Amino acid sequence: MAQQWGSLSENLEWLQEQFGGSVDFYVKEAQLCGTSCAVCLCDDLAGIEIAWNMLLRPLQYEKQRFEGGEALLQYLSGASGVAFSPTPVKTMEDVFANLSAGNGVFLADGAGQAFSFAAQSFAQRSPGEPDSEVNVYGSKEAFCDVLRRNMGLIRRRVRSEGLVIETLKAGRYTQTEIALIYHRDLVDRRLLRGVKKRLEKVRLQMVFDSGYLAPFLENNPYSLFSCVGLTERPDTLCAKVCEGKVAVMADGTPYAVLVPFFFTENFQCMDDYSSRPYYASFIRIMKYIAFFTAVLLPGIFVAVANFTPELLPGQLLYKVAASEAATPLPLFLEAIFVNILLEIVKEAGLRLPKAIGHSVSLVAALIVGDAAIKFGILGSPVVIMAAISSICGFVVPSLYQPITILRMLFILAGGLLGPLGIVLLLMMTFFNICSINSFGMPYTAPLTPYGAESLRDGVLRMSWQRMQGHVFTVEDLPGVKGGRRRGKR
Amino acid sequence: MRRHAALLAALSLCLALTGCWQPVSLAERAVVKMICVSLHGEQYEVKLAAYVAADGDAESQGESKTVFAEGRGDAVRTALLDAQEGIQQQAFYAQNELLLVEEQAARSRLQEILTYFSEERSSRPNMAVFAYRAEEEEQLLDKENIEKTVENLEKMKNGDSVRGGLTQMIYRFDLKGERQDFFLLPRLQAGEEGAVETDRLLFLRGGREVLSLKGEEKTLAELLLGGAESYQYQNGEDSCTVSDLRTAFSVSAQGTPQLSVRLSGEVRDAPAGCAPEALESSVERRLEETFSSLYQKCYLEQELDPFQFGWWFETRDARRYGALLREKKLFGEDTLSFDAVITVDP
Amino acid sequence: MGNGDLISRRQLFCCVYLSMVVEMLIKPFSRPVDLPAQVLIPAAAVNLLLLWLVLTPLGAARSGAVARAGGTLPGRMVLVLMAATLLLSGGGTLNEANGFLSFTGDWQLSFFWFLPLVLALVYYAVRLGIEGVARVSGVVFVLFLLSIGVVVISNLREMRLQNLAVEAQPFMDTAKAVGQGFSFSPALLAGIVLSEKTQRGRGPRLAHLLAALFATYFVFTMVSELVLGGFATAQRQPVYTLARIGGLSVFRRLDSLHSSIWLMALVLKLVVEGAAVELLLRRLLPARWQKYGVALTAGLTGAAGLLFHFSFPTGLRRWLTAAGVLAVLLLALVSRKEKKRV
Repeated sequence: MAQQWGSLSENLEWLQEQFGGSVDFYVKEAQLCGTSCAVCLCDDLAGIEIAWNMLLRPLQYEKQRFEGGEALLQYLSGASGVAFSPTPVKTMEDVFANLSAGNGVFLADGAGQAFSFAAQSFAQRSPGEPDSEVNVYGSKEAFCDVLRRNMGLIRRRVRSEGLVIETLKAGRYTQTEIALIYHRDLVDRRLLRGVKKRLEKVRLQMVFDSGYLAPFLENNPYSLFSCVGLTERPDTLCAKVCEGKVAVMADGTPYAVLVPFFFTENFQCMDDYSSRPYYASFIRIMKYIAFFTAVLLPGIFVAVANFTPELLPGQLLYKVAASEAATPLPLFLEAIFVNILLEIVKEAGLRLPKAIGHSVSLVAALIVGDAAIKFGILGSPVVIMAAISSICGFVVPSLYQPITILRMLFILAGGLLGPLGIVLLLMMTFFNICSINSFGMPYTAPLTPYGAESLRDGVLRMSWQRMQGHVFTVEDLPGVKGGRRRGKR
Repeated sequence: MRRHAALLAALSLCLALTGCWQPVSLAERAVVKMICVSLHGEQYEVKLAAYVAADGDAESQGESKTVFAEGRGDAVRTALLDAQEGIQQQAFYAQNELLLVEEQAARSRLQEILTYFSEERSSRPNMAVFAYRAEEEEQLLDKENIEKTVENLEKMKNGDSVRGGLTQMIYRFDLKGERQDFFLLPRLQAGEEGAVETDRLLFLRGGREVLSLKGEEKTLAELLLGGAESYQYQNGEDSCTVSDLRTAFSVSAQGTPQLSVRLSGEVRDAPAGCAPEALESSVERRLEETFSSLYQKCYLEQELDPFQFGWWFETRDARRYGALLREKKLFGEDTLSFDAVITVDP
Repeated sequence: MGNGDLISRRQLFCCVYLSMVVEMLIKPFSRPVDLPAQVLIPAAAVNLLLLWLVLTPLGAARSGAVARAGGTLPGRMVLVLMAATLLLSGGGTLNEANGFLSFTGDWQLSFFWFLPLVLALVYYAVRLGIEGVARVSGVVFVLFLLSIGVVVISNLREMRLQNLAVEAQPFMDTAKAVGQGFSFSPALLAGIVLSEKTQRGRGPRLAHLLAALFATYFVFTMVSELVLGGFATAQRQPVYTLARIGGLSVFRRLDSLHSSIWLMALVLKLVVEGAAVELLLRRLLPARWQKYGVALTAGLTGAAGLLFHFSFPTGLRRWLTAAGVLAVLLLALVSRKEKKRV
């Protein structure tokens, strides 16, 4: 049952109860303009100096007197020159929510409402450079952990009318603020409705990251490939919003979730649009090659060496055979072992403190790269294949997880069943990827179903002069159900 | 959840099986590079030259050594199997592109030998077939130079050899005898330190050798068969190379059937002090004389059609000329005319 | 399978084209065709024209033929005939795939391992839906074209004009070849069923499909004869022989690469036929059994595969041709009747 408004002391008592006597719940009672009032805030979330400078000090010098809190609040909202923008709060529960969000709340005795005002003053990281999406050209800004500041970064970049930022809450015990960002004129209505519907069904206990919401936006959260994207770059988010996508951000994390997300986007970056089209196209094609090399190379190597060695040129065949003869483990087992070892090294380097992290690479290089080969435990060809495959995987960081898993699966398939195993697993992977739909949009568009967009900004990238002639949104992709072509300007 | 647990269990099982279920590893294979077939009395004798991984520590990775094995049998297949017994590792034929047939065996049993190696199941249609003389077998299979020999033969087969020459792949032999009733086989001549080249072209029919070409006739024959891209002209101390060779054919069917063959080419390395016109006419004359001799031996004396000149007639009138070809009445003294047009680049 | 999944005409073209073209490449149990290209190519053109004539009455009955047939008893029997033809074709394809693998590789995988692995993939793919299958067909189509391109380019040097045989009586031989060589691929039945799930609008039609098949056959036959000459007539799978011969740079044996791509096309054929059977079963089975449609398809295909493994019928292609032509003509008849009645 909702808490009813009572006298000032009753209201304050209720709030103390809700906060459980927490020491960070701060109350300053005062007689202002002849009325008993109180300013409440959470210490370290909101700034006491802000409340003092914004509200309490100006009101101290106010000469007018009011009978009852309602009159005072009306005066403050309409006629007062006090420089604060109050937001009416109608229920006590909302008072509590505002206090938890870092706002200050002004209560007056006898009033049936309260005013909240922005007084956030908590410790936060300022927007820095992106950690995971590094670009040579373009903006160096990344989102920070505070949602409101992130909204500012977005609003700064998309200044046209039509940008909409809606907020909702998620997480039963965290009540985390979630923002839904889209462009009213470009977004697909069905997509927007679908996203809202799914977010409303989220019943998580807590939400600390946008990634918590990602599985709810996917059709198959167990699939190897994700049809939601993540970005920590404001320019990337704005670009996607201007293509008709929807972005979801949570307070407390710099990462935004983008819906829908397509396979080809894993191979795109903002640098592509700052570089020359021919170079950008070349780099993208190279990334595709790197992806398939990362996934297939060790498995194909094991399959070819064990089952169809005739594929290897003569010189290479003898070297591989000699290397296999010199090592105790079969090629298959060696490949599994080396790849698992590389993953362990990578994970260790990621989790260790920076000071020790450097020694991981040294130890790995010395032990795996040198001593193991010299001692004859591992063969050079297998280590080389694993290293090439790993490096190729780093070129497409957003696909690192599926690459790692698929690589191991292909080694198993190639080692057990040879080319047949590779073919069957490859077909299975193709069927898996090609059957993914993200809110009715094919995950593999515009590669398959094929569309001219793959030449425009998919595998290749046209020049801006040619791209400017067509307003592109995700509805223009082939295979989109009910898609409508916006056409040329 | 149970489905995922089952999947995980299946994958773990696969992981546990690594090393248990594996076909023959590379280290256990002997990569057969060359097969030599000869006759030992009435039996086939097969010799294999195979590469295996060298023993040793990891420092010597990349080294290989050659092993030899021989076997005998009543059929090529049994002789091969017998030879395989002599190799410790499992014989691996998929990179074998060389088949050497001893001259005597080639004369009497080439059809049978090629039929075996052209079977689709053990198909190695891209094998190059050469004849060799029995007295050169030891030199060809010399342990010290075997790798060089194989390398040179493979270069010849792939057309990368400096010395050029015709190579016959298995699929070029008309084993059914529908269009050609003879086999054309280049014969090898072993040189120093693994060097090899072809010294003759053998024509085999009905279990015997009916014609053997060498020298200029062999070179021109290889040109016409597409096995050479240049012609080396030698006249005393003067020599030059005729390159960019092209052949053109035209059939005249009015009255007596006639086929004109024109060979054109260019000389870019004319010897100094040699007049271009004189060189041109000298080279042309030499080519025409050689062709005349070749035509006489192949077409008129032995009734062979190695250059498939008959095909040009058949495209005009298959019924009429096909019948003449089958009855070996198509080619006469005046059926073919040949002229060479050589230009010397000053 | 999701309801309301639709594929484009282009995707349908890829599915059916690949299913049919792979039959030209992989035929380990066939007999060598002892006829030159001069006879085979015109015979193929005539046969494709005959196919077009067989399929045209159905085309004239417009789309929805399968749906209309499902509403009457005679129509349902026709659908049963179609499903049975597709299942038998699937069984034959499984054996051909295993035969091809045994033929091309050193290592032999037992059919009793091969069958469940491939069926598991077919089950998985059909279950995911026709949309996924159609999209994969686009990928396999591109790989297939690359493979054929590499086969042709890697054999360019070996082509000889004089290898082309010249026939004395081409018309007589062509007529005989037409009679002996006519066949109706069950993949066309699958195409008819899947056309019910195809969007209307622009895209390749039946004529384009037949033209593409003819062009492919022309290239295969000409290149085989130009390179192999008379040797080609002794080969059951001459294009595979070409793949063995052709090499690029230091890679002399690319046939395992080509075989892998052709195997992908063969697996796709199984999946396409399986998807068509599943759609037919949806019309034939009672509502409570329809959720087992995919499992039933895989199971029945596996049963056909096992049956043919123990005894591969030499006349399978003829039986499938007869059944396919009959099914198409009956379907056209039933569909027209139903349309008039309505």
